[in-house]
Amino acid sequence: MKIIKGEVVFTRENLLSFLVKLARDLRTEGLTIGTSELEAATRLIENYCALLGKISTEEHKYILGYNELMDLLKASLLKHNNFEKIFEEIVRENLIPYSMVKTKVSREIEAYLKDLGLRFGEKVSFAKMRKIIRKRSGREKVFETLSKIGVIVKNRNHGFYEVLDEKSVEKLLSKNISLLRSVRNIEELANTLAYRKLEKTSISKIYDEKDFYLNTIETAITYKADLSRISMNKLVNLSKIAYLKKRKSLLRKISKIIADRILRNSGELKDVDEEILVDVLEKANALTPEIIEAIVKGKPRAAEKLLKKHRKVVIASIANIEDIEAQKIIASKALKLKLKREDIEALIDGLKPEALTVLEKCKCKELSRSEIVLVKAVSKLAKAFEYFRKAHLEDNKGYLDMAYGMLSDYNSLMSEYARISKKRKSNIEKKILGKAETLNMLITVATSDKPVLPSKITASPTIETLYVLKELYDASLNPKIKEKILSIASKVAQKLRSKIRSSILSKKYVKTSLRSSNIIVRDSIYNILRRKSSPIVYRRRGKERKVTLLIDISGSMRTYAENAILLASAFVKIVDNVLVFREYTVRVEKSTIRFPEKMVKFLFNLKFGGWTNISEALNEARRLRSKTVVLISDLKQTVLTEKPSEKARELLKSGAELIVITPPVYDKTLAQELEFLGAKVVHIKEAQDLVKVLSFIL
Amino acid sequence: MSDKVDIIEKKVYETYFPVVGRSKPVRSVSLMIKLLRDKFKLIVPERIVAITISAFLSSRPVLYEGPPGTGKTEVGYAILSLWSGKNAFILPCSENYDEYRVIGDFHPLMAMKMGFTEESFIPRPLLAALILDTGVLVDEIRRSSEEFQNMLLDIVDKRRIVVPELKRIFKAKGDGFQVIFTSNPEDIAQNELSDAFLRRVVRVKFTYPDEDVEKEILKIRLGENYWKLSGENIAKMIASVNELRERATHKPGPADTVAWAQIAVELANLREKEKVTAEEMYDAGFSVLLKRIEDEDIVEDVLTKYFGGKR
Repeated sequence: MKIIKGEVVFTRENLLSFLVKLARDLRTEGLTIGTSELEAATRLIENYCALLGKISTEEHKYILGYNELMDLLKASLLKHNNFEKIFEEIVRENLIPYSMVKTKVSREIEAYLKDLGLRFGEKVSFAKMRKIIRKRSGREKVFETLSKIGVIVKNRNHGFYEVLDEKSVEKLLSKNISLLRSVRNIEELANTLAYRKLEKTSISKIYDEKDFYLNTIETAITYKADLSRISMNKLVNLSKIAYLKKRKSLLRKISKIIADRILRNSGELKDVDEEILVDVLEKANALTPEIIEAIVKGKPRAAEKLLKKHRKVVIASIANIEDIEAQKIIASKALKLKLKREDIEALIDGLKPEALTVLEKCKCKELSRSEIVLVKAVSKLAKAFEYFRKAHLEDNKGYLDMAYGMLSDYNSLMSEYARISKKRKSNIEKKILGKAETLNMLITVATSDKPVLPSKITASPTIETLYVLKELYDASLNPKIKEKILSIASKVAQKLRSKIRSSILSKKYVKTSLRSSNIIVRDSIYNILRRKSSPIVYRRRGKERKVTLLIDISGSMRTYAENAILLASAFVKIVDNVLVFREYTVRVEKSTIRFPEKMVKFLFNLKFGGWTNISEALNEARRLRSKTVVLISDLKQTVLTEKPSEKARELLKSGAELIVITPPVYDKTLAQELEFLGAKVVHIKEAQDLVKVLSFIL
Repeated sequence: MSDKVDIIEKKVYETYFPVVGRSKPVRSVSLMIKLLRDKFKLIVPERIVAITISAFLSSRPVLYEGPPGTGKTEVGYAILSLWSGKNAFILPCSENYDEYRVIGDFHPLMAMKMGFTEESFIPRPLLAALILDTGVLVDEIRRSSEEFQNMLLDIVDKRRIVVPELKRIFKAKGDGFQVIFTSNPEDIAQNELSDAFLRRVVRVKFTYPDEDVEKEILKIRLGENYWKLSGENIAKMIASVNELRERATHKPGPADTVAWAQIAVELANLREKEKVTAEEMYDAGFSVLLKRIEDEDIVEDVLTKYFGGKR
């Protein structure tokens, strides 16, 4: 096959050998192409050419446009839209081989070098190179492109630039051969290569070649490249360099990206230097209340610096933080400062009862005497609870003594408070008393032998009831009571299960000779006429498909995940596998979802939060060879491994069907990619809709 | 053929011939595109027509795939009718479609009386199409059962129908008997097509038309009324339809665009206006484009953006 000016020219022989080779390549990629299909394709293409008069008469050659040929091949050989991209790639590879592209690129590189007046293998000192670049205006760009590709290498130790020799350039291109076709010109190649270098390089190297990497990230941002594989730490350092180099617009751009990433997943901040982070965002004016909250969530230590200027926001954000340790860190940093009454009030309001231990350090100059006593008392109570927990968790009796010591301290402080307190209680006092009450309840649950349950729990169960029970389960220390709570919870779960089951109406019916209550009259009469041995035809529920459920248990997916597990247990017959995933993937045993007690225990011990690795989950699903895979996730991949879309493609290629269910807030780009690959993406508005959607699928 | 008149053929001619009519079969691509435009008021890309005809020439069935409202059914019907010179049959598929509904059935009472004979046999569209040598459009093939799909494939492949009760084989007489399937792969509640099925068909993909083509469609479909719409309104209309295709759950096709324009024109006539104004566009658009209740906000948003708020 020859390509002349965008048109493919071929004879019948050419076409046949091309198709055979193409089919062989397609088969290795898992697309089954039979001989009869090749025959059909040949005939289709010939007929098409004949119909539209695309035959040159003298040599009996067919002439087709490139796109036309691609359309015809797709029409006759491509069976599933999922494979469209791979198919196109393979056809392209067969039509335009790599070697052609490679020669084109290396010729361009040669021309660029000529423009600079350099030869392959030449060594040029820094000063001379500067001279060369300054000689003409366009040269700077050319030099940048070549050094981005890696043809010109900076040798810092010896103080010169080195141009690679021809062989090394050849090697370099062969290494990146798959890239060559997807880029349009040499500049794009340079940008992509430089960007890849940025992905891999260390932070100290970035400081070595500041301008190079700043330029790289700037072009990456302007071309809207996918920045998700560059670590947060790198971005923060890059923005610091941008600030030092006084490139303000770039600083703003990078900090906007940082801010977006923090909002999406504050967990990324773990290994970032908080000083630099806050500094940089401050300089770029990017510290909005939402960002501050997210930063404090992901990096509680950053609170110290943030508190100086954004005290109110930081204190208000405490209430939204789940992690007790993080709350404690932020609160202790805040308490070191001179706080106003209203700040203290907000702080106490936001803290969870268990985190009240930090109030010990309260300087409390603004508070009245009775308030101070109360603050001290409640911190003792919280400490007592902490010791009870520790005693249980570490099985250490010593802690118990300390806990009772704290409790007696609390009691004496409370009696002192009762003596000096006035009749009208201040807001702070009211709040502290409320928290103390919860703490007291938690302690009684933890230490007593009988479960103390709020009465509303058993009356009309909802999924919230399970949450309350979970809290109590976590708080109680006595194993007997834990069991009791579990058994109550399993009853609640069973009720919820039957609720779900009854809310689903089955629609699909099949004809069968097995007896049921529904007779199909028409078919039966015919069968009687035909004198069949068992003439009566019945209607029966259709066979359900076996489904693998992939459930995301990152923090934001909590309600959805719990609903999904409940649903799975209601449909234990259909659900083949249940996989829950965070940064790792766990397969849930079938017996776990079948028996309510086990399921509840599993649910209660499930920890939500952390990172998300969709790729691994999809990989695991592929390994299980399920025909239908339902992924319930917000699609926010936060572990930086292979792209989830790649894994999804592999999964789809193996012949499975992928259905993705997302909550209202989700990663739109990944969703679009998945949809493009052939997955079905369904968006739901609230967790209750999950029932509807899943029952439709199952 | 013997001089004895075949009872079944007679029945077919009596029942179905008035429906199919007769004209000259078309075999050339350019003529077909012209006729599609003049006679059926359809604008079909050359690619689709050429691939379809080449598939017919190599006697393969064709599968039209694409989102709803892109004119798969209309185009398929028109091409089949032009190809065979007779109006094509349309089989709208559903879950419990079976061979008795498409090939033929026995009248229950007559079958009781006389047994399974040619007298008690009632021929149905697929058999009629084979006998009359005309095309068949199988609509929404994904909705049918796999059993049904395989039966159809066998018939299309071998170009003959066997009726075991009558001990008879009907064979296709010319090349007018061709089959086009349509399907919408995005619909979630449907059966998948089997690999065996996909291997035998030639797939043609339908997409939403370009702006210019959509304008052309409006011009053809609206006729005189087209000039009552200002160029600005048409551009806005197409822009808003394209935006809805990206955002809404119910994605409007070209047919919806045409309906919208038509209703807007009628409204303007009723209100005795020379030209269609933004007000009519808004009112008509809201009633035509809103198909699902969950799209209400999106449709309102888009219409307000292009044609101003509610008055």
